[in-house]
Amino acid sequence: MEALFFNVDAGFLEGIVRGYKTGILTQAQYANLCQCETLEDLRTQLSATDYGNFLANEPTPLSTSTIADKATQILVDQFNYIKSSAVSPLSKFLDYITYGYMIDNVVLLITGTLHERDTHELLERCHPLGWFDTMPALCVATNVEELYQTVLVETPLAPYFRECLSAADLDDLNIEIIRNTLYKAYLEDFHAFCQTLGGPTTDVMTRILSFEADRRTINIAVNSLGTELSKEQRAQLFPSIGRLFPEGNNQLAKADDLDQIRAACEGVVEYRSFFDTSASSGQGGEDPAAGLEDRFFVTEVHLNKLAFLQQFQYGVFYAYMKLKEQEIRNITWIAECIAQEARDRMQDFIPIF
Amino acid sequence: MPGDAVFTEYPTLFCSEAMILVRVYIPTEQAHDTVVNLGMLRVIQFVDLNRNVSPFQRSFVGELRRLDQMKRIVRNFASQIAKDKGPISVRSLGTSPPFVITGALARQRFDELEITLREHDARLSRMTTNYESLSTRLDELLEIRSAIIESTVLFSRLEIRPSFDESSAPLLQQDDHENQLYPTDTHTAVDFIAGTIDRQRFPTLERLLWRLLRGNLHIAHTSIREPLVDAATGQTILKDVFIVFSHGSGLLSRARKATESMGGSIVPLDLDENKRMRALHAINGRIEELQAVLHSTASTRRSELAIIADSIRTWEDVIFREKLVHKALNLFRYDRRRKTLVAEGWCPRRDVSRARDTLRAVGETACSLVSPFLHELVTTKQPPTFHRTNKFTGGFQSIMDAYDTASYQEVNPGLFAVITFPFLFAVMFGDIGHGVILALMALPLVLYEDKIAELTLDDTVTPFFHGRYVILLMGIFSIYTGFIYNDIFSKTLHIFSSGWIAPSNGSGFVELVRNGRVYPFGLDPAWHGADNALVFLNSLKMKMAIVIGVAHMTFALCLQIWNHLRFNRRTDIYTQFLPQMLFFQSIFGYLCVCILYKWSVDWNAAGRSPPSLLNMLINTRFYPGQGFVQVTLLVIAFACVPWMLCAKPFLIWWERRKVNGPSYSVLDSNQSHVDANDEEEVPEQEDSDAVPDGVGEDKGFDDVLIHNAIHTIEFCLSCVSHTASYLRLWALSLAHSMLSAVLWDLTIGRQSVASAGGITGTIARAVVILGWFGITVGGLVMTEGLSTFLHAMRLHWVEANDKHFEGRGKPFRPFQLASDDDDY
Repeated sequence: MEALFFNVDAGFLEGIVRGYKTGILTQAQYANLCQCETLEDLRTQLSATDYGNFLANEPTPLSTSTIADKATQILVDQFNYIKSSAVSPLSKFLDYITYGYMIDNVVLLITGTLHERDTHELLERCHPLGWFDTMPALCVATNVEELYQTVLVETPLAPYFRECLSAADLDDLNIEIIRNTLYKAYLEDFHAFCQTLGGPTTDVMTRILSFEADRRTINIAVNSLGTELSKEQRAQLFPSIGRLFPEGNNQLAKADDLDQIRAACEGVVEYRSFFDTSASSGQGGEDPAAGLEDRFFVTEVHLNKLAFLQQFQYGVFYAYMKLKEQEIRNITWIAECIAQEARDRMQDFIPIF
Repeated sequence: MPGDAVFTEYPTLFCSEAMILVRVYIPTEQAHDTVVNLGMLRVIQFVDLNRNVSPFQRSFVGELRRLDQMKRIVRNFASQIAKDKGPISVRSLGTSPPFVITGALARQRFDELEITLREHDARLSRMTTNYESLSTRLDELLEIRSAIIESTVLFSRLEIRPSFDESSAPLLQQDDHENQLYPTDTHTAVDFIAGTIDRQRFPTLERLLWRLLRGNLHIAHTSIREPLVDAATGQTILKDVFIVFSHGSGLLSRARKATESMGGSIVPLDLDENKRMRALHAINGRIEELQAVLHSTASTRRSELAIIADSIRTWEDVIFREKLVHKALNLFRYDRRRKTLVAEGWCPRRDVSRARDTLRAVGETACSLVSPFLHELVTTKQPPTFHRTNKFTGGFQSIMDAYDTASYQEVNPGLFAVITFPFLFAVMFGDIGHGVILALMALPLVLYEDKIAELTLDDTVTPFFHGRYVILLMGIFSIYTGFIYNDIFSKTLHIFSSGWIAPSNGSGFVELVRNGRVYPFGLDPAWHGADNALVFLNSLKMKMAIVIGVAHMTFALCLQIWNHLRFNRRTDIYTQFLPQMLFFQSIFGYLCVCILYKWSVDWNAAGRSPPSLLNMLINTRFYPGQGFVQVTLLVIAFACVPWMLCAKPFLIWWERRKVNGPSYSVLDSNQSHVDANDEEEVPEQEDSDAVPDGVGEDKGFDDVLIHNAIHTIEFCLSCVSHTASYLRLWALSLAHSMLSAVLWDLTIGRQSVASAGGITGTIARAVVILGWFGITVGGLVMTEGLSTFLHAMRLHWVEANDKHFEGRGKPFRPFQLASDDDDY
């Protein structure tokens, strides 16, 4: 059925997004980027891609952050263009995409305020897609209760935040708990929303969101090893969706070391390789998170690419945002490598196409 | 293949110019000037010799970067000039002194230009920073002033007690015991902050403050009438001034923080009106001071901008040209041993000597021992297509080029379009009056073309100007067909005496009788207004459309022969052209002959009613021996189908068998020729890109079969559909004459308009005639003309081009120091 009526409301936008997708940098273009000697070369090389002359008006000493900002700005413009012509339920779906950025911004601001950073500097670092009207006022709040009562109560994040109210004071650990609780609630809510959409959207988004949830679960488990976070608290932070849920989650909640985490993930075939290779590559022992994180990104890119194989579904919008974010990370990585003359590590980005 | 290219003494439009691949050796120190001069000559299209070198590794990328920087500075100037309040006149390029980019001093001049630009940039940015900080300060003061003025309303509405206390001393004493309850003095008994904020964000702030202070506040706000400048964006926005009353410095400081984080600004206000007035005076004084300073800063900045505006066009032009030159230089290969740059490019054979002369002149100017020289190459690569047009043929050629670029040296349909295009247009547009209007519209463009060409035209006029000769010819041809249709604004002209007369005693419907005369040219005016006029006109125009269409297509089909001869495909004449021609003529050619025969016979004299062409094949007796002729033609037509289908594949198969019979293959004579001619320095890439451009004989045999089958079926079907398609000549012409008749009848032709008397009648007639003329020009000539134009274009592109046009060429784009696509 969705094939019959999908195009009435979202066909145009799907076409736009698929058009945007063809502009994502290819392997050959990355190869060209990697040959660059200076950031000026990078500017020349990027102007031959879909980015066009987005850096043309920047003065000569180009900084990596400028490149990242401008690239993000392009993505934001594209997203806003799509959002402005979307109708329900796609507009709701797109709103859900922005909630993720809002959570990041909220956590960023709280952390920044806690460490007494400059408010304006913090606001500049916020992701433009996660911007909401009362966001700057977050800097005023001093405890969780106040945070919720004064600022967040009228944002879409309010229902997610309700569960965090037990946390009393704002310190680094609590902020981390808040972040993860918010994300847990967000993912579950987004997942539930995608279930209501039905059809291929549900299939595609369930796949992507399940992985997202599992990734968070594993990350929490790995990062909480050896911290003062109790196992009950840890279990509460795990999203109740994903392919590891419920038994994998249970095992992860009880895990005491990396081997037990690995054992917990055995249940899902695709996740086995995350730990196998990280051990063999040598850097796994002490800092397993670094190698793990990259593998997560690779899998995420793979899943998001799969989303484009199906038509008549909203997954492409989500997938495009994620792929483009990865691309911006890649470009920034390459630019950093050029700027810091660490050419040997330049190849460590995650290719998309 | 280019070896035997057709080369005529005078430029022709019949087929594209003979091109040759040239190699230019340029001493490095003269490279820049050489490229500039070649760019002004516009005869060479450079080929990229560094295809496998990425853009930022090429030799002149440093120069390009430098140019990009300069371009950025100039762009910044332009935006500053545009942003400045009050217009600054920018001197146009034509009136500016030229900036010579060649010669011995060019390098130095250019370096100086860069320094000048940097100096201007530094100066301007300093002034701009100054100016902006001053104006930000001024905006802040203005905001405070507005806040003070507008807040008076708020304070007066509030009736604050302390102010009452202060103004009357006795009460103050009475309230002494009250005051003791509060440790602070009366002024801080009620704490408040005041501020301004974007009007749209005020509700959000109000909600936020309410929640933040848990409802312990009183907030009042009013709008500031005059728009203020937002410090962050520089846009003018409307703002609100608000006052928040609450208890305790803690709460107020949080409110202050919240306001600031929401983008509002805190304004220091005092409860006491007199103090506020004093503050207002002080601020007014500071505003005046600031305005004076700002004014002088702005005027110095303006004078700086004026200096820049004086030569900004020249700078833009120089940078643009330099960029093109260096981009071209990047296409060249650098020969380390000989310290020369090697360029390759396509050049029309006719212009090679001019290019040589230019190169020699460059060498002489540089007073160098070696001057750049040009060397002709022999190649198998497909040259680009170049039709040398002039101002007259250019319009027609661009119509045909819009369809596709002709293959190198194939017959150019653009030549014939010069006549056929306006003619087919006129068949559909035939009306003397409309034709005259059209011609008169184009005439001034033609007569004053020199003057108009100097103007900068906007996008709507430019296409008309480029197509001025097309429009002129369309108008003239329409006048001609108008005479044939005897149609002027849907009326007729009685130039000669009619061949019909009305019987003297008739009333109501009468039947005209012949008087033996034949109207010498065009349609007899007696048909106008006749009851059966439409029947007659339809029959005439429909048949005429078929005859014209078949003639046009036959002509287009014949153009194949030249292509077959030109490209050494002699067998195609027998396997393609001949059966196609026979097929087409035996069906549609015969139809035309019948039409002409039917017209030429006086059926009244023959004593029988004219036979219907529709039934001709079935039973109508038309002429003696008809049955035999028709059956023969039909047999020929059917025989042509297998001929078209099989002959060409068979020949190819036969050729292949002959070639593959011996166990060795014949060397391509062209290829060996090239190898012998090439010099030792030619790198491998030459050969690699020669292969895909080559003849490409190795197509599979089944490919040939399928291609030929499709081609045959398509041709047979298209004969029918294309002939039917030419009926649009009839349909459009009919629609056009009907529209103009209806327009006449509804306006000037109305009884009430024609018979109205007196002054009102005259005025009414004038108004109606003006309206009629307006609709005639706007609707019938412009809109109808455009639609007719599109139909004429379609007949050329689809129906005629399909018969012969191959269109696999690449257009010739000579290197020039001006570009249409301004993407830099």
